[in-house]
This record gives sequence, C-alpha cells and structure tokens, in this order.
Amino acid sequence: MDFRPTQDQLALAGAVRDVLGKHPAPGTPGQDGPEPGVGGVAGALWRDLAELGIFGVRVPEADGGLGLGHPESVHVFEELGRSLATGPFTATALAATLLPEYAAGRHRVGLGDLTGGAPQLLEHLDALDALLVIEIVDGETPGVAGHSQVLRVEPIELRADAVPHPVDPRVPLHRLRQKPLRGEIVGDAGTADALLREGALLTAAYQVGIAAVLTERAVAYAKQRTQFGRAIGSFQAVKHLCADMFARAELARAAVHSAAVQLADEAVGSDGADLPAAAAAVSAAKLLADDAAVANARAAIQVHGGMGCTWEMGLHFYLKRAWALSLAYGRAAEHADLISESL
Amino acid sequence: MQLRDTPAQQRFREELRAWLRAVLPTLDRQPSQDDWPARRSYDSHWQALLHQAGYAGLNWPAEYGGRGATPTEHLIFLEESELAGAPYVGVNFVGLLHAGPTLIAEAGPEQRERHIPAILRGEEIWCQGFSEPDAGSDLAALRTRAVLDSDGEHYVVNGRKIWTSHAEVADFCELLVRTGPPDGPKHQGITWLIMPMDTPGLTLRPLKTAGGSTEFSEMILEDVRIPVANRVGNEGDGWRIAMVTFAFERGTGFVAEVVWARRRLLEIAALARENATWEDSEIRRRIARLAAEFDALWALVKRNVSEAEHSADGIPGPGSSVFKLRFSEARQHLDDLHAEVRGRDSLAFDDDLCTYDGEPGYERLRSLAYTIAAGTSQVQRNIIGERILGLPKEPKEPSAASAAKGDGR
Ligand SMILES: Cc1cc2nc3c(=O)[nH]c(=O)nc-3n(C[C@H](O)[C@H](O)[C@H](O)COP(=O)(O)OP(=O)(O)OC[C@H]3O[C@@H](n4cnc5c(N)ncnc54)[C@H](O)[C@@H]3O)c2cc1C
Repeated sequence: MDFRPTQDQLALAGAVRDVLGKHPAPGTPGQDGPEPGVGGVAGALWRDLAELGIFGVRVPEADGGLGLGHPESVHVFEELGRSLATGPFTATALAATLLPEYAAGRHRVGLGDLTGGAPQLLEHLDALDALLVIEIVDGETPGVAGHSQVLRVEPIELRADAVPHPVDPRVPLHRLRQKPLRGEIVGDAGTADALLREGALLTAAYQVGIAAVLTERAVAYAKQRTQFGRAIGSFQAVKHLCADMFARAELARAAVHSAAVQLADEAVGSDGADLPAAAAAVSAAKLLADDAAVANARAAIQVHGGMGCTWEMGLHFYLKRAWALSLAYGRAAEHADLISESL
Repeated sequence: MQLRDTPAQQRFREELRAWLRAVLPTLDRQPSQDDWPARRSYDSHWQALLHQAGYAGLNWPAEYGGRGATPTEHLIFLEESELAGAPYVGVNFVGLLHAGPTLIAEAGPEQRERHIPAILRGEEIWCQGFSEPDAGSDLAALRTRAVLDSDGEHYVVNGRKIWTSHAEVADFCELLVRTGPPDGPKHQGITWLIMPMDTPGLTLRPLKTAGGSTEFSEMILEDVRIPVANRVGNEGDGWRIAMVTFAFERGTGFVAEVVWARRRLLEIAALARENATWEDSEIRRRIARLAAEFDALWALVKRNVSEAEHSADGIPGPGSSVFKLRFSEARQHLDDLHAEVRGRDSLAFDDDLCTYDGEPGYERLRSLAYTIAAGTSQVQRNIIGERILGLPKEPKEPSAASAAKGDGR
C-alpha cells in the first residue's frame, strides 16, 4: 500500500492549477478576471482546460482521452473547486466517459437528473451544446419501465424559463417546464447509476477544493488581522475555528481519495463484486465533503468578521457554490441512507 | 415566579390585537430590499401609525411622548405585533432599540427633548458609527479623532467608520470618537457624540453585503464639525455610555425576532408536511429542537426583562450575551433548515425579489452576519466566560504593546 498521491497526479493537479491561476474567478484573490461569457462560462478558461485534457481524464487514449482513472480525476476537480471554476465541468467530464467525442472539451454538456421529482433546475443551459438527462422510463415494457435511463437531448428543444435571481450569481439556472419529449437513448439504468456515482465523487472533490482553499484564506487572515494588539489567530477561539476547518478538509480529502481508489479498483477489476463498498465510499466522500465545504465557508466568514459579510471579499461565492453542490448528485441525507443500507 | 398576564396586561394585549387587526390590512406591500428611500418612508409610516395610536416607545417616559409602560407591556407589544405579522422596526432599529434608550439613560434634558419625540414619531432615523476598519471587536482601539475647535463650541472630527447600517437614510449618528490622546489609555479618551448626517465633510461609501444589499456603508469624516452641545455625557466617558448602548442592542434589540423565528418555524413545518420532507425523522427532529430552542430563548427574554424591570437602572445585564449568542446561532440553523426543506428551490431567490423581510434565500444570507454584528460569537463567549463566570483572561502575548483591558464590543 502507498496511499500517497503519485508524482504524476501532483503534476496534473499543478498543471490545472497553473491554468486556473491565469483565469481567476470573481471572488478569488486577484479577482479582476473577465466577466464570464454566455451561460456563465468563461470561454478562454474552458478552452485552456480542454487543451490540458481535463474532460477526457478517464477516456482511453485511443479515444482521444488521457487514459487515466478516478484518482487523477479527483485531483483535477479539487483544483477546479479551489479556484471556484464555473461551468458544466462535471457533466462534460461524465459525458466523455460515455461518449468519447466529448473528451476534447469542444462541446459543453450539461446534466439534468429528473429522477428526483420537481423542481427541475438546469445549470448553464445557454452555454450547452448537449444535455444528458437521466429520467425514469414511462410505459409498460418489462425490465425497462420504472427504471432510469440516460438520454441525450438538444438543449434548444427544451422548454425552460430562465430563473431571474439564482442564489449563486455565477451559475445561471433555468426551470424546466416539462420533461424533454425527444432524445437519443445513450445509456440504461446501470449507466445512469454509474454517472450519478461518478458525479457525486467529482462534486465531492470540488467541495474539498473549496474547503481547503478557504482554510488557507482564513488562516492567512487570522495571522495578519490584529485586534487587541495581537493577531486574531492567537485567540484560541479563532485558532480552533481554523483548526476545525483544516481537520474537516483533510478528512474529506482522505475520504474522496479513498473512494476514488476503490471505484478505480472496481472499474478495472472483475465482476463488480465490490461495487457496493465503492458506492458506499463515494457516498461517504460526498457527505463529508459537502459538510466540509459548507462549514468551512461559514467558518471563513466568521474569521473575517464584518469583512466576511461583504460582497467584495467574495467568501459568499464559495458558500453559495457549496450550498448548491450539496444539493447536486445526492444530498447528505440520501448518501447517509445509502451508507446505512450497506451496513 | 409566574408567566400569566395581570388583568391590566390582558386588557392591553386585547386592545393591541384589535388595533393591529384593523390597521395592518391598510398597509402597502413592503418595498424591495434596495430601495432605501422607499424603505425609509414605509418604516416611518408604520412608526407614525404606532405613535398616533399610542403604541410608540411603550416603555419610554411619558414626558417625551412615550407611554411610560412597563418592560413587560413592551414585551407584550413586541410579541403581539410580531404574531400579527406587523412590520419590523426596519430603519428605525438604531433609533428605537438602542440610540433612543441610550439617550433616555444618559443624555441631557435638551438633547432628549430634541430627539426622543422625533424618534418616536418616526421622523428621525439613526445609525451607529462605532466600528472602524481597525477597531471591530477591539472597539476601544478606535482612532477617529475629535479635537476641540478654538471657538470652544465645536469638535472637529477626522477618521473612518465602517459597517454603518442604514447610513444612507439616517438623519443622526451615534458616533464614538477619541477625544483623549491617541496613545493614552484606550478606554478613557472616548466620547459619545450625536452627529447630524448632513454635516459637511461626511462622505458615505456604500458597501454591498453577501446578500447583495447595500445595507451598510463606510463613512469618511474629514474636518466634520460637531457642536459640543451634541456630546452625550462627559468628555472621556464614552466607553461607559457605549456599554449602555450595547446592553440595549444585545439585550432587547433582537427580542421580536424570536417571535418571528418561532412563527417561521411553523411555516417550515407546514411546508415540510406539504412536500413530504416531514417523513424524514431527522427533519422532524431538527424542527422540534429549534422549537424548543426558540421557546427557551423567549423564556430567557422574559427572565431578562423581569430582572431589568426590577433593577435600579432598567439596563439589561450581561445575561444579554447569552441571549445574543444562542439566538444568533439558532437563527442560522433556522435558515439552513428552511433551505433543506425547500430542497433545490433554495437555489433561487423569489422571482420578483420584492420583499426584504422574509424571502428565505435572502434571510439565509443575512443571517450570516448575526454571529458577527453587534459583537461576534467569540467575543460573546469571552464576555460570558470572563464577566459572568469570572474565568481568567487569555494570556497576553509578551510582545503586545497595548494591553487588552476591559471588554471587547
Ligand atoms: C451586517 C453588519 C452590520 C453592522 N452594522 C454596524 C453598525 O451599524 N455600526 C457599527 O458600528 N458596526 C456595525 N457592524 C460592525 C460589527 O460590530 C463588527 O463587524 C464586529 O464587531 C466585528 O468586528 P470586525 O468586523 O472588525 O471583526 P474582527 O474584530 O476583526 O474579528 C475577526 C475575527 O476575530 C475574532 N476575534 C476578535 N477578537 C477576539 C478575541 N478577543 N477573542 C476571540 N476572538 C476574537 C472575531 O470573533 C472574528 O471571528 C456591523 C457588522 C455587520 C456584519
């Protein structure tokens, strides 16, 4: 066993971080980057990341991908979270595992999970070239009806209304008026489950990035801000806030890496006998990472005092994103239920 | 020890209920959160109605237009108004809940005469100019300088204040300045002034909150001349007076919100039953726990009010820090729970974002400040630990030049 990240994994993360550093998102340090383009996606950032191959991390090299695995993916997505990169990154990477034509990142693909009932809010709809929809099959066909399937849908065929005031101002939302009427079936129930599972893992990795970068920001502020003639980080109350942030981020990262490895072993491996274990590990990762991101965003605001409550300081962007992501690819309660079923 | 109304209190409650039932339907819809002039006129109109009906400044002395009622009746007023869904104090927060009470406790007769009736009629809006960029929790480190002019009748004030809520619509500001030497004992050279907001030399720079509202501002003061007659209390006595202001701000400032929170909890429970999240026992228990918490907070308020009612000066004691600490945290849990029950609906604000009072997404963002504004939770815990429990202070860094004496804000 050697559970340390490999040099290659760290190098990949470093390369992604370098690209992201050139396109700072609003609210992150050095935030005067250009306003995001159509549908809330910064085109230049998307292109540069596509060039690195981040959408095809898990796609075989023969199909134009990097031919790597889940452990590499989570390194990439942690970096995206650290920089609060905005766009349908997760959905496009998921789509590429299914349809390698998306590996190059030339298209933006969204994902709508319609299995959970209303309301159906779709992200970045105006920026999308394609949309994967996971839905429950209607009708009577035995073995299929009542199960989920994956459809590929043309975004322009959707009937959806723009939401005027999304809480996360960087992620435009549309409310779907009705289920898509037409679409090409690209996957069955098993595919749908795999997509949702991997989506939960990548989202968890992104949340770890948020949790980690906010720890760094809070710690830096606690060292620099003085009150009562001393750095506020010297007060135990503040020191412990920071220490808890660090512990949450570390724990969540360990869970994410562990789930990535277990899922990777299952994928290369045999008959999927360990799938329940890997699935439970993904659930654990999502649950802990959601908690770490949301709790750390709150704590970072608290450490910054009045500053933390300002739009300018930008900590709220992380909190809003962390809130939104904790409702994507399964909420904590759903993942907790999944874990309990595996026990 | 009992909680029943006396016959007089019962009568008061019933009259008030009847009045609220009659008058609330006549009000317009609340203006949108960033329309400050509209918010000012809405809140002032409500205050004027209260005044005409004899419900303004319930526990303020009758000689200044108050009703001279007991704190208990004041509490009944807050409870019934909130239960009936009456408007909250809004931009009158500072005037009614801490500047006014501070003036009653500390100001001279002319100052009271000048301001108290106007605050009660809803004609005078106040803001609080205490915090500075480098003096937040350590408020006593404030550096805004006030120097007596050669005419002997004005202070000339220079400095920067920050986080001043409602500064844009305020007429007056409770301003804390340093009149003593900059390097003197930091708690001693502070003075409490009344600053008219139209004084030349005052510039406002609006700041946006995490919720996108321009609810507070930075105030830049350049040679602002404030009459010495506007000084409340003695020169150098401002720290003690500021402590009185805090006692009101923390002790009674958020009382009505407990009732609001309790009402909101019932709405959340109703929504949960409607959208079936109620079937999740974790949700049910979180709702129940918060109900217990808010009921206990309300009971704590009654205890604090009873104690203030029977104390010599009527000023809430340090027990208000317990209330401030627990209420602000419970309030955040409430908004989180609401979001949980709303599910993915919580990703969007109301389509026509028209109310500033109660829109759940906006309230959730607003509540982030509850554990920071009016003294952070960390500082409240220090106050409880040190002032109530008598625990020793944290050891000071040997290098610290200025010793931390007295309380944080
Ligand atoms: C929405 C909002 C409205 C406001 N309105 C007003 C207003 O109208 N007028 C006004 O004057 N002010 C106002 N304030 C300012 C408010 O009082 C200050 O933000 C607050 O006192 C904290 O000060 P600070 O922001 O400088 O944070 P800091 O004091 O820098 O605190 C940063 C962190 O350090 C911690 N800390 C500091 N000292 C200690 C200590 N000794 N022990 C342990 N932890 C410590 C704090 O808890 C916090 O986590 C408002 C603030 C907000 C957020």
